[in-house]
Parts: sequence; C-alpha cells; structure tokens
Amino acid sequence: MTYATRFIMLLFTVGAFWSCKQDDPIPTVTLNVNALYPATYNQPNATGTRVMLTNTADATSTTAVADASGQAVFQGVLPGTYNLSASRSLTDAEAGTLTGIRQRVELNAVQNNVVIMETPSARIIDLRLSGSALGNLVIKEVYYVGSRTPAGGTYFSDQFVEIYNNSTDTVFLAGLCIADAYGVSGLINPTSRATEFSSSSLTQGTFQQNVYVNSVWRIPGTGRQRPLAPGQSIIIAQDGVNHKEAALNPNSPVDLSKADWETFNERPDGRDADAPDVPNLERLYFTGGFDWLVSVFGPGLVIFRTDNFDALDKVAIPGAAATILPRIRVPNALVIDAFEALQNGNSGGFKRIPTALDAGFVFADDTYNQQSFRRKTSSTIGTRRVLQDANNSTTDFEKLAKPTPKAFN
Amino acid sequence: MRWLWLLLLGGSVLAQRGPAQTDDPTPADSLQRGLTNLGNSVWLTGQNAAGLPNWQSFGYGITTLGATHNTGDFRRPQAPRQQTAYALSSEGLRSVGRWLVYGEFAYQKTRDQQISFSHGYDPFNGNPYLWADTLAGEPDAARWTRDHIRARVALSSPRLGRWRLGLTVPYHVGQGSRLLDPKPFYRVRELGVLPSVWYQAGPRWGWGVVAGGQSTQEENEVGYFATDYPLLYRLRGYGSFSRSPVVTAERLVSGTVWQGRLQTLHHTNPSAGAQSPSWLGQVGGQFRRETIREGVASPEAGGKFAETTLDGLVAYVRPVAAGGSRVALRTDVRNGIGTDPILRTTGATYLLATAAIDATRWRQTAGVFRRDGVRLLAESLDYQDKITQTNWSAVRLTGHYDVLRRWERSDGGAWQVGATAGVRWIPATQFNALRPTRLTTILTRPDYQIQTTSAALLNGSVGRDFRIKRFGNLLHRVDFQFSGQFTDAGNRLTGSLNYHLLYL
Repeated sequence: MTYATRFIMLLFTVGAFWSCKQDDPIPTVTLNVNALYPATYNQPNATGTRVMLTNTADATSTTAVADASGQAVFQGVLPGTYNLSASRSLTDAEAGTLTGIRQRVELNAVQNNVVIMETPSARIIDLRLSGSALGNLVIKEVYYVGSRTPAGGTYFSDQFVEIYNNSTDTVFLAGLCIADAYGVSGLINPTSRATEFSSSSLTQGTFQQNVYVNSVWRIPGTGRQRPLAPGQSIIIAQDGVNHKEAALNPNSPVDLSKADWETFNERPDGRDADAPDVPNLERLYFTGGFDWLVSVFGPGLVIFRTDNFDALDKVAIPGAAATILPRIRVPNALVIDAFEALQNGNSGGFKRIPTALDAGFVFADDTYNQQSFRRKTSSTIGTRRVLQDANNSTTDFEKLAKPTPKAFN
Repeated sequence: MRWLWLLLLGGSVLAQRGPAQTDDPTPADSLQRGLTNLGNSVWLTGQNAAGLPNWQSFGYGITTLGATHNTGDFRRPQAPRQQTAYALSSEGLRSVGRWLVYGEFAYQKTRDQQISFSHGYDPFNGNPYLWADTLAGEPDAARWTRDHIRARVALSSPRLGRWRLGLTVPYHVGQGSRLLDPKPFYRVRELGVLPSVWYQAGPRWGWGVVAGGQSTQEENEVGYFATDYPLLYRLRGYGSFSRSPVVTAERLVSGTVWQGRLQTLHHTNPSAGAQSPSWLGQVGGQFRRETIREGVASPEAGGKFAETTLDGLVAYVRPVAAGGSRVALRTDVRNGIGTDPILRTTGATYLLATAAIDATRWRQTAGVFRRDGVRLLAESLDYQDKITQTNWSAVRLTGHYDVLRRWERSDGGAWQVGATAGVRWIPATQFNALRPTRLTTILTRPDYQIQTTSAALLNGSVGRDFRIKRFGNLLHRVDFQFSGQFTDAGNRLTGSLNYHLLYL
C-alpha cells in the first residue's frame, strides 16, 4: 500500500501543478466618467451625480457617485459593451444656484453601447446631463408582459397602466392623454432596428426633443372634471374585465373589471369587446390592431397634455411606405411623465423616449411571465406615498413578480 | 454511416447468437457474474478488449426491458425535477471461431420535466459553455423528450504467441427537444475507436495497453417555428453569462477525447489456476478538447474547453473455494479549463479529485449467495470563475455498506434481495462570489448548496428469477430497484422496474 499511497500523492501533486497554470488574471479596466451639467449652467462638474454602468451581456450594473470634480470612478471593469446612465436631482436651492431659477430639476444622461477594451491606462468618458422640471402625475405601474394560459398559450389582454397623483394637490384628469412610443423594443427579429426617427437625417436632430407616438387616448371631459386626489390613482386597462374568468385566462394575475378606464377600440368587425362597466377613453389617433396592445417585449409610454391635439405634427416614418400611417410628434415640453421598457438589458440602443424624459429603461425576464413594473416609494407622508421620480425608469421602477393594481404590496 | 450501424447492430446480435462454450455454466451463474462484477478484469476496468477472454469464459446474452422514474426536490438546478425513462437494452458475449465478440446495444427514451438552464444533452459533463433559458415550467410543452442509442462492439483476437489484440468501438447517438418556445433542440453523436493489446509475459505477469480516441459532436438549435422570443443565456462559467433575445440560432460543439491506459495483472500463485490471488494495477489519462462555434454562415467563437483526467486503480482479489474477496483503491483527478469566448482568456476552471476504496466479500453456500461490501469515497471539489470572481470548494465523504443475498431454487429460479445504506458528509465547504451576477443566486449558489448537502443514502432491490418450461434454456428475471437520497433540503427518489431475459 505504500506504493499506492505514493502514487495517489503523485496524482494530487500533478493536479495541484495544473491548477497553478490557471492563475492568468482576467484583464480589467478603470473607467472614469466625467458627469457634466448642461452647458447653460454656471458650473461644469456635476458633483454627486449617480452614474450607473450596465454590462449589456448580462445586465449586471454597478453604480458610482461623482466626486467634487464630477468624476465617477469604476474600478475593475471587465472588457465588454456597456450602457452608461447618469442622474442628478437638483433641489430648489441647487437649481437656483446653478441656473438662477429655483425649481426642482431632474437631470439625466445616457450613453449606450460603449465598448470598453483592455487598455493600460484609465478610460475617460464625458456624460453631459440634460433634464426637465418635475410633473405632478406619474406613471405608477405598467403591466405589459401578459401571462400564460393553463395550456401554455399566450395572453396579453390583461395589460394595464396605472397613473398616480404624486403631488399635494388634487389634479384634474380631463384632457390627459396617454400614448405609446413608436419603435420596436429590441432585437426581436434579425431585421429589427431602432426607431427610424432616431437615425433618419430628417428627424435625427430633433429626436431628443420629441416623442413619436403611435396611438393616442384621452380622458374625456374639460376643465375641472375628473379630479384625482393626492396619493390616489387610476387604472387604464386594455380591456376592463375580470381576466381571471375561466373563459379568459384563469392564470391571469389581474381582475380589471373595476378599472377606471379602458381603451375600447371600436371597429366595424367588433373584434374589441366593450366592457360595459368600465368607461372608455377617447381614441384620438390609432395606428392599427384590434386593441390597444402595447408591446409585450416592452413599451415606451408617455402621458401628456395639449390644448390642441390636432395641431400636433403628423410625421411619416422615415423610409416607410406611403400607406403606413404617420406618427404623432409630441414635444418634450408637453410630456408630464414617461416610462420606457425594452426587451432586455442589451436593448438600450432601441430607446424611444428622449433621455431628458426618461434616462433609463426596465426589462422583464421574459414575455408572458406576469412580471410588472411599479414605481418605488420615495417617502411616506402620513398615509400618502410620495413616489420616486428621477425621470429614469431604471432606478425609479422595481420589477415585481405579479402586478399590483391600485396597491403597493 | 450505415456500415457503422450494420457493424454495431450485427456485432450485438452476433454476440448473442454464437455457439455456447463448453464450460457448462448455468444461466444463473452468468447472470450472477454479470450483475455482481466480481474479480479482476482489465476489460471491465479499462475497456481492454484483448482482455475479454480473461473476463468471461463462457458466452451469454441479456436483454432488458425497463422503466425508471426519478423524482424529488433534491436536485441540481439543471437537473429535471421528474424524469421517466424507458429502455430496451441487450448485451452479449460469444466466440466466433477463435475470436471473442462482445456487443451491447441500448435504446432509451426519456421524458424530463422542469429543467431550467440547460438546452443541451448533458449540462454536467464539465463543459461550462452551455445554452440555456429560464423556462422550466409546468406545462407539458416544457417537457424535454430525448431518444438515445448507445452501442459498443468489442473484439478479442486469437492468441498470437504471448500477444492478444483487441478493439472496442463505442457509439452513441441521440437527440432531444422541448416544445416550449424557443423550442431548443440538440443532436449528439460520439464515436470512438479503442485498440488494445494484452501481453502475457508469463504465468504470473500480464501487461495491457489501451489507447485510442473518440470524436464527439453536439449540435444545438433554437427558435425554429417559435412564436415568441425569450432570452437565450449563453452560460460561460459559474455565474458568468451573456444573454440576448433569439429568433433562431445554431451552435456546434465539436471535440475529441484521447485516452491511454497501462494495465498489469499479477497472479501470486498461478499454479492454483482460478483460485490464484491476483493484483490488478492500472494508470491512465484522458485528454478532452471541445470547441464551440455559434452560427453557420459566419461562425463565431463560443468558447473552448479542455479537460485532463488522470486515474489510477489498484485491486486485489483473493478467491477461496466457495467465494472470494476483493479490495480496490481507485483515484482520479479531473482538471477542466474553459477559455472564455469574449475575454479570450481562462474563465471557468475546476479541479476534482476522488479517492475510493471498495472492499467486497462474497460466499456461495448451498443454494445461497452472499455478498457484503463497504465503499468509502473521498472527493475534493474546487470550482473557479475568474470573471465573476466566484470560487467554491468542498470536501465530500461518502460511506456505503452493501448487502446482497440470493436464494437459489432447485428449478433454476432464485430470489435476490439487496440493500445499501450510506451517508454523505461534508466536513468542509467554502463559497465566495465577489462579482456576483443574476445567475449567481439562481444557479451557481443553489448548485453549490445541492452538491454540499449531507445526505442519508438508501438503496434497495428485490428480484425474482424464474423459468418458463416452454422456453427451455431461457432464464427470466423481474426486479425492482429503489434508491433514495434524504436530506434537509429535500429528497430524491428513484424507482425502476426491469425485466431481463438471459440466454446462453
């Protein structure tokens, strides 16, 4: 047995020798991100900016905060392709110091598909922030992925959007519009491309100042109608029915028969049934389909107001056939809140919402898996929740296993 | 490829139909020997076909029809929660002239339920570069259906002076698919050639060498006819991955396995013939290389994997008049290295070492065969992923006590009962993940936890041998086998029911 023991020891020694060969280090890079205020501000360095670095391969994110020189440092970054996003909330006082106007501002910046290669010295990237003043109404929750039927089929009629009064005053909803942004959510097909409005020479220059939307719906009424108290919300359902019914989808996570509004798409063939107990939104513009089905891969949504909808520009999709309906151009200034979801962490290049309105995006783990996205609670005053609104869906929203209409748990 | 099928099928059938030899064993002897795996055989320990004559001195054939069901929560994340398999297999050994032919053929159909993070044939074969998604799910469409055929033919030449030559040809082909989008599918094919030689230096010493290679290939496809497009995960190690939506994609894993083995058999008292005690020593190595390519029109690198295995065995058999005993010490070291397709440097590695000692004693008395055995196994596991800075390691100790009793009846039938009780104990573990990813929490760490969970192990079997007069020399056996792993993290139970037909 002595020889056998020696033999085994030899094997283990050889094994240990092999393992020594495996200690080649993984190359990493130091990334310095310079966060810069808008050029019109009286200081260049955006101290305190939170910068998020997201690996497009696996959607892993790390965050760094810009120091006094406006620099956020990421150590040990693996070579690869990344999305960079940055956000900075300015208080009334800070905004007053930087711009002369005392009004809270959310600043954002995004740079997608940044290729980071192995370099001996640190890589430096500048991110210029831009932003807009905060609104009172916010999109509280969006459930768009749909669910699976007991037979494993797909069910998407249970989509809904919830809008929340995040202010301290009653808001009157009459005239509030909701619309979905034009463009695919990611590389759904090999030929999928980011929205043509972002790349066409006709619209590229103004793409970041407008949202190009497909269908537009409006809450009926005028003036001080449809009040919504602080801390309250409304549900806009694709179909205002109990989706859990046996005839629909017992696996659906939602009963929307008590929704506040539904998007009834009246058609001659009656393909979209009208739920009699739920009032209908006004259909201002519609670009096709049986129903207002937003992408289960991830929609871009905006809520906005305009005194004259007909005055908004209708812009043809660059390169599209003349038979394709043009899209409505909604200037950023009209937008109250935005939400963006894309297909996955690699889909940043498919963003449809301008950075100033929404610097980030969310994505579900899969389609038809019942996941929903709800805005995080920033603070609670009495019984009223104040929801987080940094104009960045990535940081403002949390991913839920199931939707929570008119609830927070 | 048809000639290969003819060779494999023909070899298997030929091996079962050849003339019986003159040793006049009973079917029960053959079945007993085939199932109990006793003695020192270079064929069994190292696939040395030139050693076939030293393994069995008589021809036999066994055909088995069986079903196995495996269920339980105690499973690695990439293993099915439930698995049902149906198998038809046949093996046999016959002489053809002065040649000896061994053949085996097995067809297995498997239905797996609730598998996640595995689109391939075998997620546990060491290669860290896998395709996967998260869709385990309950619906029938999420079930994997697999069909596999395995065959092996071995030839042993007539004695050429002190030499004897051998050749083994193993073959495996299979495919599996899942109906649920994105409809992953795989095809696997493995073909090997293992020439061997045996040199009988004298009455005491014999030496053998086996050296050969194997070609392996696995093709993966996803997305054809898919109606929705979930994310495709490209696993790159222990937590490291890339993912992207997929419409259709193809992937090819091609590889080779080179192996060599040196064997020696020493009879301490050759004058005692079959009663001579013997030592068997064996050292070997296996070098496996796999390259992964994605896409057809413009293939892209999907990673490279290399695994080196060294193994050693020392066994001592001491026959006595009505039985014998055997002690075997086996050890092996496996070292796997994955070269990451994106960073193009070493990403995932592992080093696994095992040492096992088996001690078995068997006795044949009037109408009763008794076998008792003890097995102690020590394992060292060490996995590293440099991208996610994950490292986990463990020492795992397993002990078994094994009992088999066989009561033979005067009509040639028998009852056979077996039981094994054991325990797996984890004296030391360590897990670090300094750059965790989403998969660290849902795949890597759960896998670590399953592999480092102490367990009570319990196996049992009961079998009945019987004859049917109309079928003369055939022996029939029906047996039921059960095995269970019982842990604080859940249990894993396996049951199988088999019908064997044995003929000479």
